[in-house]
Amino acid sequence: MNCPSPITHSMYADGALAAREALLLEQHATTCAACRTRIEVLRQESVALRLALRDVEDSAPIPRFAPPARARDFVVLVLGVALIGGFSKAFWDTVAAAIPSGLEWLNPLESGELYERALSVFTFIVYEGTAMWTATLNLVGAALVIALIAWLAVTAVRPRAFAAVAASLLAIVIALPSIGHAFEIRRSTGLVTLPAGETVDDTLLAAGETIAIDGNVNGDLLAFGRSVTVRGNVTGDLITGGETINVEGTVGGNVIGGGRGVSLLRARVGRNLYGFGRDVSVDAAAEVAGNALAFGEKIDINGRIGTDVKGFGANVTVSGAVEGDVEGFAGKVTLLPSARIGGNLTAHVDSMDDLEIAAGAVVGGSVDTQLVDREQRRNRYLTVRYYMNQVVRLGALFLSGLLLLWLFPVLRDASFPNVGAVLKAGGLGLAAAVTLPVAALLVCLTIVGIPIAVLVFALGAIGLYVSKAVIAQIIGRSVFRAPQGPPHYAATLITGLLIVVVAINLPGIGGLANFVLTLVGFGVIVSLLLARLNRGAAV
Amino acid sequence: MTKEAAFAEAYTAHYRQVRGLCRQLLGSAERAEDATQEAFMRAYHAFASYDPAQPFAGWIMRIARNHCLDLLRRRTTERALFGDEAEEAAAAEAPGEDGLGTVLGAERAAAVNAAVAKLPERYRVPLAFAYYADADYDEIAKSLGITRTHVGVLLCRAKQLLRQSLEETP
Repeated sequence: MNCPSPITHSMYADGALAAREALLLEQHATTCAACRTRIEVLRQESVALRLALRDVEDSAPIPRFAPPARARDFVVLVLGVALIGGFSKAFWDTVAAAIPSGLEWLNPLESGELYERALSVFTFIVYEGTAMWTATLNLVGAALVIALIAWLAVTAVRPRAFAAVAASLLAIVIALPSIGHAFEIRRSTGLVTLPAGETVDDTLLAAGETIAIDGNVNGDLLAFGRSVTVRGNVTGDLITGGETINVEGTVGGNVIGGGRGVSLLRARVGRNLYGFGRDVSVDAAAEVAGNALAFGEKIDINGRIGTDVKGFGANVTVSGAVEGDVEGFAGKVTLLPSARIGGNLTAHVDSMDDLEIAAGAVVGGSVDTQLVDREQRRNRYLTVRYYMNQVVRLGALFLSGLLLLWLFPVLRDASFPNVGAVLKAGGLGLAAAVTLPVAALLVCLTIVGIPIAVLVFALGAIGLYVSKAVIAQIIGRSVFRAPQGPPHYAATLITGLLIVVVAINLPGIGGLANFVLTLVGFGVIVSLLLARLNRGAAV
Repeated sequence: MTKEAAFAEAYTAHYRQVRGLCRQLLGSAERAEDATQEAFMRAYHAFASYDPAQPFAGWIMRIARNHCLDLLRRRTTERALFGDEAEEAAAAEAPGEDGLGTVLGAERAAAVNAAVAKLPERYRVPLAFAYYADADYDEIAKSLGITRTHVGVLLCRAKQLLRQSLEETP
């Protein structure tokens, strides 16, 4: 027999040769020294190779395994944070009751009703979150531009993240309205009109520089442009954004408007008005059957409001007729002589002088002035209450943070490898904080969308709230840079939170610090969620 | 012990081994990291079907192996991946007097691994299967969708190329 091929030798050394062939080779090897040597060499080689392959320098740390997030975790988080918020609030109420002149300003919706209770607990939980969103919504027009820029920045760094966000937004915008009803889009760079006499029998989306709606829309109207004028009839909701918004026609549903100026001129609104802008006004000839909720610098209520008015702004002026209550959170609340208020008037102002009721104005119920304590505002660092408030705040954030880190272990190891990562997270956080309410507003268009929008709002608000815990964890970890690794996450969390709470209370820059830290933390949460989405999609 | 805790324990215990396999199969530490996470993610989802009587190592290594193969296949077609058997067989050579065994002291492990990482995929993959994952020829043949002899040819060639590569870099 000739010497077998090198392949046969190799297979024999690996024990992979069939029994008959192996026997033949063994017989041959008894008489062939060369083959014996080869087999021996190959055997040693296998052993050496096995050892060498396993001998990889592997001191790289084992990253934490992040089990996929389940819906249950989110529910637990939401319930947990709500519970912690509720307890903190209850605790605070007890403490506040023990301290003279309680902190009513912290609880602006004081009332016995369950709904308002829940709302006030929620306000407490998302104290920072809602404040930020109020600011964001006030600037919705400008914010869209910022969002676009932030998005472009994100696109440059993470094309897949952009794709995921864009695709989901597109899906929301395109798919959801079509479930409910048909959709008509009118778009132009210049003028978009719906002439008088013309009727659109479904939802109309109008976008352009100038939008003039004189005809009828038998559905919802979404109008976004520099100048939006609605003189026709809209049977559904009117959702609009622009520099100047004038409503002179009839709207069967709600009016949700954001812009520099939002005016109801001769409008008839079947349900509520939600106005966000520098100036929000309801003209003498205008009528809102439901509530009017207005955020702005200058709020003028001159027309008729069927239910309550809630105004948040520098100046809230009422000169019209309000069937229900009026509540103003403002620098100045003014009732002109023509004002007629059926219910109570509550003004949350700095001093008694900031509520002005002209002679001739009528308030059916009680007049209440809730003072936002000036003393406390000016010298807040000198009051016990202030520090107690911070302790409660810290405690609530710590418990919420612990819950978050326990549920989502991947957040425990979050870190910033470089400054770019911080900027990226901040940009992403800003983009998400701006787009979330816009997306929520858009999904509000359909009936099925409303619960989704509420969910988006709630999750977003809780996300903004706990984002400070996330950033605190990152800061805490960088403080404990020990060779044996960081201590338990509770220790790093509380350390980081102490630093964060001090930072956001610094005079002067505290507000900015709060804003930046919240956005960066939010960005970390969003980027981790996106990374998970991407990995899921890439596999 | 809860399912989560059991899995977390198994994860820590086997992570490095799985990452090693992925690294040998994919030839890149970075891609290995991702592949390892994904393998464990797959294992996590399939944990209910895992039979605790079987060793966890074998199970997770099989998942990782299959995932890496999927990744490799996605980049290239199978034929191109493992080449032509006859052509390869013709090029096969036996080791000289001193094969890898004699030159491979512990201090040369790094050099071997570097050489392995540089091997073309069609050699590196069966090599990692056979000498890292300790899979037998039948298993490798089945996983790669090639014949048993083809596996033998590829392994023989792989070792031959390794020898050449290591001789060049003493």
